[in-house]
Amino acid sequence: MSELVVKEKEVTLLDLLDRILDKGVILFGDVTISVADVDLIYLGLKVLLTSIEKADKMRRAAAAQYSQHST
Amino acid sequence: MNEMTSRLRRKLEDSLAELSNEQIAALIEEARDEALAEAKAVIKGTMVQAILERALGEIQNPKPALSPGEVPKAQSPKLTSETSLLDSEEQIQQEIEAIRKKIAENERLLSQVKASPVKPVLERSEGTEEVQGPPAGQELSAPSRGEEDHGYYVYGVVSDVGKTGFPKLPEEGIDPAHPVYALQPSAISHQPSAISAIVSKVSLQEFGQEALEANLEDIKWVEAKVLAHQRILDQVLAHHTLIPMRFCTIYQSEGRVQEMLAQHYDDFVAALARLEGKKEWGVKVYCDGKTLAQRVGEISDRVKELKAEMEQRSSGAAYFLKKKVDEAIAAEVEHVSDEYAQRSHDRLSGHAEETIINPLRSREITGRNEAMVLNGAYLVAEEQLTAFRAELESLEQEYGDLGFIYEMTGPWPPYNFVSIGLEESSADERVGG
Repeated sequence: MSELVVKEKEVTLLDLLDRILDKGVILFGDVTISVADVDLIYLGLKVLLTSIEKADKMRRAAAAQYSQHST
Repeated sequence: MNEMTSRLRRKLEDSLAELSNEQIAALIEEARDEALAEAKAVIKGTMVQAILERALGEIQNPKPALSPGEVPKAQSPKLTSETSLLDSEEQIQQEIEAIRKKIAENERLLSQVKASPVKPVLERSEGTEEVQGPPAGQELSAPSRGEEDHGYYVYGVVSDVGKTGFPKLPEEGIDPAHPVYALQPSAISHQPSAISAIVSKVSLQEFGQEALEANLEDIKWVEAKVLAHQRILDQVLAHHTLIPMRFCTIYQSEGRVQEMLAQHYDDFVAALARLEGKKEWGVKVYCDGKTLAQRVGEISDRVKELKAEMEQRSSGAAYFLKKKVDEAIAAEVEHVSDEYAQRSHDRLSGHAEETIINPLRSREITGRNEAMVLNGAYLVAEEQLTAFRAELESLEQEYGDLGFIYEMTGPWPPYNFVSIGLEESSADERVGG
């Protein structure tokens, strides 16, 4: 399971979120999601992407260290 | 700043010894230009700080959420300045807290607004098996006294299914305990209905107001549910013209859903007629800045002139010329980016019934190295689709070398091409996102 696959999934999720949260028919149901809720979702997505990125960096740093030691 | 200034001064003194008067004048002018640019950058930085602080203040002290008739902004400049805010986890936590306060405020306002419209419905609602929902003025949450504990989740609206029959709908709705089904509005005058809503029952333990607020903070939950919502619509889209609802459009009874259908009946019928035989496709264009900069260096006359001049000058003057070259390249890259994004959109629009340009997304949220330069949605009729795809392939072939990357997604239900209900929504402009 490579990082590329994970990235693709996140891009698709963004495409979907951009439509389903803010577009289509927007009516006042009896349960509602607010503007702040939508903000939180994008925030969650950013946090997710940031942590994926951090994990990437850590992995690459570890790999670099390993290759230094082995040469 | 001091070190840089004294370094510059020393360099200036050295160079002045060898330069003619003419060259000195040119040197001073170039230095002045650069000093102005630096000062501008510092001022800009200070302004960005001030704007961010004000924005955070706004978030923590919200104004009323309702803003009828508000059209979503084309640009979200706050998005890019937000990135410096989200540097550390601590700051992310702070942002979450601020947003939580805003949610609480919104909830309060919503319950005030809901107090009036809901009441008459409870009295009118007949012919359904539904038990009365929560009393007017209260949110639809999982009740403690064993009353109706389900809501009705609406995915979208389709044209009449009575005549053509309906394809097999998913066994599992967004709440897997209940299936998806079609619901017609109660009789409109003497005519059979031309529309149906696609709905499923959902447990209020998961989708009631309070539970929902909590679940929406869990990105994994959101991801699973939006994917479920979309999968259901995909099945419908394959066989029907479809008007999609926004995520989490939930009513307390079938009667309420039917009331909504009746209220917007004409709008739905008109929209379905307009959308018949067409689907939405998304095209995003990204630009690899490094590649484009390289190409620009090879193609642009101005840049080539400057580079040639650079080679003939002494090291001091060449230093300043290099900066000019870099600036020229950067300006050219921006210009080319904008121009080719517009060209791409225009060419694709030629094969679409309707089009819309959406705000660009930052690298932080796309997770990509390249910058997004176009975020377009296109309503394409079946008979135009081949030409649309062909145009996209041509664009890739022609502009790919310059560093432009094209991505197409679809087909989508026409989220970007319906405007029913916006005037009632509480979804005014989003902050960042």
